[in-house]
Amino acid sequence: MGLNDAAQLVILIVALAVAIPLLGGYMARVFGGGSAPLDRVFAPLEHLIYRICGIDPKGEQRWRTYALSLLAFSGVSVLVLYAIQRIQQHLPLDPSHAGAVPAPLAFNTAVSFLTNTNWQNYSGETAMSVLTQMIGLTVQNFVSAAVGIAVAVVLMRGLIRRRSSTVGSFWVDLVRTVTRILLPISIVAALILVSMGVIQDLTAPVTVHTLAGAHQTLTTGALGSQEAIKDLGTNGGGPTNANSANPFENPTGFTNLFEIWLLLVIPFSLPWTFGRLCKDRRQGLAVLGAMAVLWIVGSVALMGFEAGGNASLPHGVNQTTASTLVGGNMEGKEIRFGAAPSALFGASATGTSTGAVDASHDSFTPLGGGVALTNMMFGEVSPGGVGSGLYGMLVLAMLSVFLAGLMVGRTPEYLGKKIQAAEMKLVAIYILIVPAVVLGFSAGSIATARGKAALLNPGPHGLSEMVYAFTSASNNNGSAFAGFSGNTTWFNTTLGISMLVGRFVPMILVLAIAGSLGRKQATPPSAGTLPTGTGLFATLLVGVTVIIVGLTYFPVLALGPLAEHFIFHS
Amino acid sequence: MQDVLFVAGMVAFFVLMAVFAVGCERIIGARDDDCTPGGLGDAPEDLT
Repeated sequence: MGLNDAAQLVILIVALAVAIPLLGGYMARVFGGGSAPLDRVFAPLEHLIYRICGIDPKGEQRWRTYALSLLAFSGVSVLVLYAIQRIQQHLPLDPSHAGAVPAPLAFNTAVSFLTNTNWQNYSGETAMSVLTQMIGLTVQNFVSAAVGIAVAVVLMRGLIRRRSSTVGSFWVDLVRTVTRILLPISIVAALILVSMGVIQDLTAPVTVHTLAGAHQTLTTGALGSQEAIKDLGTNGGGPTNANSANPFENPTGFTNLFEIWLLLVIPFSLPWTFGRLCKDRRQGLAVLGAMAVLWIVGSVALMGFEAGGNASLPHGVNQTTASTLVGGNMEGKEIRFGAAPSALFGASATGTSTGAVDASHDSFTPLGGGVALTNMMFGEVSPGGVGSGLYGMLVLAMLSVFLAGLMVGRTPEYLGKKIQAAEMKLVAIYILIVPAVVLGFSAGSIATARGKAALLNPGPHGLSEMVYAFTSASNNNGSAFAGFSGNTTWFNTTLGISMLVGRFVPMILVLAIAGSLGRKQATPPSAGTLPTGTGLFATLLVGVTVIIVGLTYFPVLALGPLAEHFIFHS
Repeated sequence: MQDVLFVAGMVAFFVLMAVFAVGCERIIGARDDDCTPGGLGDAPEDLT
């Protein structure tokens, strides 16, 4: 890894360190219940929405009503998105005459964008009309991200409130998240991206003659606006097939770094919001620290593996970085970014449940691909998706205090709330459900001829491709390893089911935990209370996360990326 | 035919999730007689 690569990582960390207190503090004001900045701007818009939709802005819901509201909203959303794709040929703004999306693919795509996964079994340039992209996919990019943040806010309320029968209003949380956080930042980010060369128009694709005399069709469309929320909402579903490797989506090294910042800024700011809302910044810093350690270690490792070169090239091929040579493992990567910055993008995307890619993850070195896979296997907590990262880490924090309590005889409490059998039952289901889906569907698919037919590579790499697909879908990441033909009825259906289960079962469990904790009275700290706002607790949290993932996934990692690495070097 | 299957499947999933939420309510118990909407107020003065 060269000096330029390390400088990009340092600049990114500094830019995040500046933004986290500002955005985290702002979000604490938005969700804190009192007055918030720019009320005079946003409040009239929100009241108009409340009036049209019949929402009581001061209404509160019990956790189950909140969950049912979330499910009703998501159920209607997925059906509408499915219908739009099926009838898009009869709707306006279809300059490329995309035609109806086939039913299995429409199901997969609707579920994918609903669940903030953004797994794409289609090519954006040819399969989706501009209208579908704008009112279907981009709208889901906003609201699916807002739903994730709303669930995280509910868990924070559950930990903070005492003897509360309610956890807030889903409709108010949804509206405020979109109007006050996602929309304003997306508009500014879209303007920055468009000013740097990302295209934004509504014209038909343009066919040009190349210097070699061939014809080439160039993508057009509202790329800038979709790109901004694609990254900010940790969605990842790009308007083009090549995603952020396409120069119209991500034209320069600066836009690449800016897009990585967009991926990370909300997930890393939410722990700060948590600290502010519970009136103890150390609690937020401990969670933030654990997330940061996992992200930095993963990023540096992946950057190092990719900068180290490709072991499959013949001995003597020069892969070192020089003034005239990009260097590193450049298979599947863009020269304008280089190996290590592409790896930084990959580590940040897989750590934030974002399906965006600026390089082919299938072409990462075996260990580099293993890092991307492991990032997702953490359950997307490094720092995770918008909202889902924080609530995932808080669930792991509850598991950590419970395990620490078992080991040293301390009372399992988190922020003064006793962690008892009911919460631990829900946490146990939360920890087990996603690995069960990943490993069950992977094993089921690899054991059948129709499953194996989708793999373009044999041996350990083929296993990695299969496991990557279901890990990505179940953890709502959405990035693909490529080398995998997922657009079949079997994979459109099974990956869709994986996304639904991986999204909504954990969400309901988190809402139930929040409802249970919110009803409890907080107990004052005693000599038997484990301090949770310390570096030691952050270390414990990292350790528990790594051990859980290791116990669950190490066998499949050994048979996939690790075996491929040793084959390369044997 | 495929449309019917996929739409029915999606509706069935969300109904199943609603039932799952009821199951979670049974795990945590539904007793909140001594609770109030919004709770007793903000976080405790000192959580450390």
